[in-house]
Amino acid sequence: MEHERFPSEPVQNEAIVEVGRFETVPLIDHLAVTQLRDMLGENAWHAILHRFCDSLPALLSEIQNAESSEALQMPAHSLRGSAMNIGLVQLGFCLEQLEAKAKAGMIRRDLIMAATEVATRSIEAASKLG
Amino acid sequence: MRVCIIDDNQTNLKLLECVVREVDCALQVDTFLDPRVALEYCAVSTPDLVLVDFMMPDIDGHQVLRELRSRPSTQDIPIVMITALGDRSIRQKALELGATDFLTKPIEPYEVKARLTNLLALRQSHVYLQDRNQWLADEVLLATRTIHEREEELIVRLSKAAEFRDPETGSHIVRMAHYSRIIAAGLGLNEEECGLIYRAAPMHDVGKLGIPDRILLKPGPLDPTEREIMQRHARIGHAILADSESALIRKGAEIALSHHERFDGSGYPNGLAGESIPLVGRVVAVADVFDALTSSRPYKEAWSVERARAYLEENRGTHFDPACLDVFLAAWDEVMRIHLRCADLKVFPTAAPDVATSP
Repeated sequence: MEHERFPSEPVQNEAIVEVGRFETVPLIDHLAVTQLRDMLGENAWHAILHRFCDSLPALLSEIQNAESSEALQMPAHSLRGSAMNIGLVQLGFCLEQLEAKAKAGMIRRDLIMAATEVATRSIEAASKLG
Repeated sequence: MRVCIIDDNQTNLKLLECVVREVDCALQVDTFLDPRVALEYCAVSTPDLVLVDFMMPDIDGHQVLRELRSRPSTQDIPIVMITALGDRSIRQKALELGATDFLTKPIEPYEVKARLTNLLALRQSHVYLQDRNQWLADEVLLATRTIHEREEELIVRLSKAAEFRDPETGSHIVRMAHYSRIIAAGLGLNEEECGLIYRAAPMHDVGKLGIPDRILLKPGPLDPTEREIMQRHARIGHAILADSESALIRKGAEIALSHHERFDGSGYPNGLAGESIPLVGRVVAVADVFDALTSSRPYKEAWSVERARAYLEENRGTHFDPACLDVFLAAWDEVMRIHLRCADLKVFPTAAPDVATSP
């Protein structure tokens, strides 16, 4: 239904190929982040990043503890949207796949673990931006 | 101006808030994670722009849109919906529900800023025009009311001037105005025409200003020459009031000229008969004669209402228009109420009569 920003094509070996695909996306979309920082200023950018870090644990735990694919969809969608908005594109893409699978009735533990790990790395990288 | 942002995600909320502040740092920004709280807030304090995410738990963007558009205060404020790229059916539905514009996630801050700037400028013009229209409408209403009040005051003063020279009292003017209105209403004239007749009727005898005192105040019956002079008051009244810009004063002129005409053509000054006599003249004739008969004058005692009623009935179709007389007699209870209630009044009618609305 949704035409995704990174359209996934039908593949044979989903687990391997999909994990491989989101990892080929850079951790951070530097152009997007630069645009945000230029326009809003450093203070606003840090405030937004802080807000993201603060809300991350609750969303991740909702994702990790989801007992059904339906319960997984909303937090995955929400976190995906905010990650994409602030240029954390690898995390966004990972969650996009997780959400798509959840819509198809699947809970993909491997993508949940990957998302958790990518989230940590993304925040570290974003905080270190000069 | 106030901007209301509704998104269940904390980060998006903060990001959008920062972008909105870039548009204009003087904007008041209210952010809501829970659309239900936002809807409650919007009911109390009308925003000038709403940004709402489509996908939220419990209440989605469509429901927020539907609710806001159903309320008069937020019926035409700009509402921007934030959707993922390519949500065509969601956007189509949102347009049907009255969305003003869309933003696509991931948001492009420069695009968002430009669009919000435009929408807020439009909103500001809209509010300004609305205020200006309201202001103009209020001013016109106020000016019109003042004109009407002055017009009525003028009529009251003119009628008062005539009264000073006339043994007829102020309460005659009040009663005959009420009777005239009762007849007009009984004939089925609309509210506006009835009001016009009610307010114009007091002017019927202003022509008496032009009649010498020796005739006007003569206690006994007039001789033929004196009567001829006395009868000039109809034309004099018309000359005083004619050709006015005001519909009310023109109506007064018509009444002054025609209230002594008789239905059979034997009246004055023009000897008109039947429907050639203006309707207001036929209406006022009944009201004026009935009140004159039931009032005392220097040269006569007041008649009883029964005797006056009998006189009117005897002259149905000769002096009086049968249609006017019939509706007057049909409203007899109301006529009696006015006859008693206004017996000693010394004031003039300036507002719509309360008796006309009572059952």
